[in-house]
Formats: sequence, structure tokens, C-alpha cells
Amino acid sequence: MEAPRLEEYVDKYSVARLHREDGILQITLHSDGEELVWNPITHQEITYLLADVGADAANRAVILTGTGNTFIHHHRLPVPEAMPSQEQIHRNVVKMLLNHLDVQVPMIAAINGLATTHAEIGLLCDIVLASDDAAFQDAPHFSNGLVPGDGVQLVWPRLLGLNRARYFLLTGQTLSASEALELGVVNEVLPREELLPRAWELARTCVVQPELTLRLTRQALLHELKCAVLDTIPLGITLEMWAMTEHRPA
Amino acid sequence: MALTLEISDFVATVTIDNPPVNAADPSWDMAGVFDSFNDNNDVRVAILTASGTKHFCTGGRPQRWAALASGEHGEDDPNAPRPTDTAARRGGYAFEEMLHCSVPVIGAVNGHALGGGLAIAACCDFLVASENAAFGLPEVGLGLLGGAGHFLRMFPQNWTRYANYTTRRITAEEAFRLGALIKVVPPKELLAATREIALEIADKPPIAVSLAKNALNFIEDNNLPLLPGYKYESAQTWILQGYEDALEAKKAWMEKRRPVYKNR
Repeated sequence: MEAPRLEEYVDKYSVARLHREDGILQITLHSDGEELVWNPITHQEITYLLADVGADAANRAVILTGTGNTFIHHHRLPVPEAMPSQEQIHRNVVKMLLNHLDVQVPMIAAINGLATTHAEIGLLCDIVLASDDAAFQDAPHFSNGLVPGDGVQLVWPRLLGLNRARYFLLTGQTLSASEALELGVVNEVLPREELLPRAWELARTCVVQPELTLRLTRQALLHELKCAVLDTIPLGITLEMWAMTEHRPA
Repeated sequence: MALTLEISDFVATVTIDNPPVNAADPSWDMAGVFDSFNDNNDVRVAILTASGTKHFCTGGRPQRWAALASGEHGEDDPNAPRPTDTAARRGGYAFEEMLHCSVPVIGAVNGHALGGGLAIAACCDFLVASENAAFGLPEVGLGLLGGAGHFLRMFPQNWTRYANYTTRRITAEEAFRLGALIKVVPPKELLAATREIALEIADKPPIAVSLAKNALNFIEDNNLPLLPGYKYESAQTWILQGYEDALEAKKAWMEKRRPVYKNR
């Protein structure tokens, strides 16, 4: 088996459109060409997409963005037959985070709108840009009757500080793009139409670096976080699933 | 030069078959094989073994590294080891899938497990070996490193250091005495003896076995002391109670009949 090449995985995932130019891969999340609809299948696809992206050495920088007015916002459960098993969901949670952090090259998020679900997929990128109408929230968990255990509990306290993050996670607080900028959650806020050109401009400044520098920097930056994922997330998802044995939101 | 997979009676048997010494081949998709068990209800336990009676797996080929040092590899030679190549990372993916896949993996070590091959053996849940098996890390003697952490998963600290610096191989008899092996049997009996254990595991509720492995992994991965580990396991117990098979196991026990599991 050879390492994956773009032509092999470009059409493999229904959840993302992939476009590569000069070694820069743009991942545009979508559902049937429209704004992304999140569910456990989406989660699984992104998990394996990130593994392919990370294993393909021809990717020298990655841009991650969404479609339309949302980054990740809508939800709809698939038909029961299409649902991955509970064990698979459990595993995907850890694996998606590890596969994200395992992408060796710089990742740039272009948060193009509402990021109310698994915003950490964008926020774990090395550079985070947001459109001026972007907003952040943790909608699926505590305010929806679920334990925040599948990643948000790790990422938000690192970005906001422990108390601001707990307030954010428990109250369902929404952070506007400008608030997120002020709090250091995002690095730059731009009008929507300037978002991707700026992401590409930044990506081009990254890819000129020598090969090993380009590939080893993200490892240096993220090793601690990778260890934290292994330490924290299996317990978090177990607590989330435990609570779900009593209450499962519709 | 292959990895073969055979599934029967809920037991998957993965066989390394790369004569003459079962060297590891970067083209194997070992991670994919073990990952596939996560979604396959026909697999409740896996056996990893190798063909022949001399070698289990001897790891990567040192010649690759020699050619690197002498500059024999061209720029694009896929066999050239390089710090960024995905072939080098693939070993890590294989270890991860063996350690974290949803079914127990039993190693049936039919011969010498060396270097990367030792690492593969060490990622099994537990090991059965034939009398002629041996475990070693030749790396240091070849000006390489690797596998020390894996060796520590099987052997005590001082034996690991002794074997690592001297590159001496630990025999099956020594390994059994040190607690690294469940059983040592004559080569002809290896597969049957391993399968017997596998079938015992396949008889248990699959989701319980899977969550048991998950709990042990979490305790090991985080070096958890008894009480935090027990709390995690207890939380998993509650999740387990949401499955029909967990109830079926108790009912069958009370009704003194064989349980029927549905992976639900």
C-alpha cells in the first residue's frame, strides 16, 4: 500500500470538497453542496479525511473552511440504519482529534460564519481567521442536556481560561467574532469575501519553508495537546455516554 | 510477501507471510486490517501469527538504512527511509490500531520477534509462544534505535536495558518465567493452543470484552492508579448496561443456558 494521494481521496468523502494548488489543500466542508449538516457520519468522514490528508506528503499546508453562512452549525441525525455503532462513535471522537493534530503541516481555519457545533475542529488549526459575522457557541452539549465530553472540554479552557470556558460551556454563551478576537480565540477578523484570499496568502508564506521545518513545526507545537487528548477524551466521552444512558436528547 | 486474513468462528487470524525471515514490509496495511475489526461483527478476537517456525517477524530491513548512509537512494526512491515519509509513520499507525482496536489481539509467536517485529508482538493484548520463540532488539548493534518502550511493555526495566544494550535475545523459556508469555508450547501446537484461548474470549459478550479492553487501555495509557482507573471502568459499566447483550449474559447465566449475542 502506498501513502494516499489526492486523486485517491478527492472523491471519497461526501462531506468535503478538496482543492489543491501549489501544495496548499483547501478543505471546504459541505453537505450536498450546501451548508454542512453535522451528524455522527459527518464526524466519521472528517475523522478519516484528516487521516488521508495527514498521510499525503504532497499537502504542504491546509486551509479548512465551511460553506455559505455556517462553518459547522446545522444538525440532523441520519436514518438509524446509517448510524455508526456506539463503539465506533466512541473511537471516532478520540481519533478525529488525534488525526487533526497528526496532520504534520500548518493548518489555517477560515471560519466563515456560525460555529456552534464542534468549533474546535476549526480552533485546533494553527492560524484561525474568522469572518466578521462568525459566532461561536457550544450548542450540542450542556444546554442540550449532554455532558461536554468529546473535545470542547479540552479546547475551550485552553483558549479562554478555565472560568471563562466553564461559563461559556454551561450557559450556552455566544461569542461574536469581535469578542472571539478580543479573547484570543481567533487571530484575525475579516469581511467574508476577504477570508479565503487571506488564508491563501498566509498559507503561501508557510509553504516556502524547508520541508523538514514545515513538517516538524506542528509536531513541536502540538505534542502537549496530543498527550492531553489521550489523557482526557476517553474519560470525557465515557462520561458523556454514561449520562446518555439516562437522558438522550431528541 | 503478504499479510493474510482468515475469519472463522468469530476469530480473525492475521498471518505475516514474508519468507525467508518475515521482514516487515512498508507496503502492508496492517493498521487497516486491525481497524477493519472495529466494524466487523464477525470478529470478536484476533490472533496475530506468522508463517514458518523460525521467525515471527524481524522488523524493517537494515539494508534500507545502510543504503541511505551510502547515498545509494535516489531522491524519489520509495524505499529510502526519511524523517518525513509516511512509510515510517505507518508502523506507528499499526501499533495504534492493534492496541486500540475493539477486539483483543492475541499474539501467537512462532519464532524470533526482533526489532520492529518485537514491537508488533508487544502491541498484542497477550502472547502465546512456541518453544523456539525469542525476543530481541538488534537495533543498537546496527547503529539504530527503536522498540525500547515496546520491550518494556513485556519485560521489566532491567531486563529491557540488558537486552537493549547487549542485543541479546530473550528465549521463550526466560520470557515465560518473566511473565511476558501466557503459555509456551511445542511449535506444532502453537495455533491450536492460541485458538483455544481465542474461542473462550469469543464466547463472552463482545461489547463487554470490547469495553473491558477499552478500560484497560485507558488505565495503561494514563498510568492511572487504582481508584481513578476503577472510576473510569465503573462509568463504562453503566454504558455497557445499555446493551441488550449485557442483559442476555445475565439472563443466560441465571437460566443456566448458552447466551445468544446479537452485537446490540
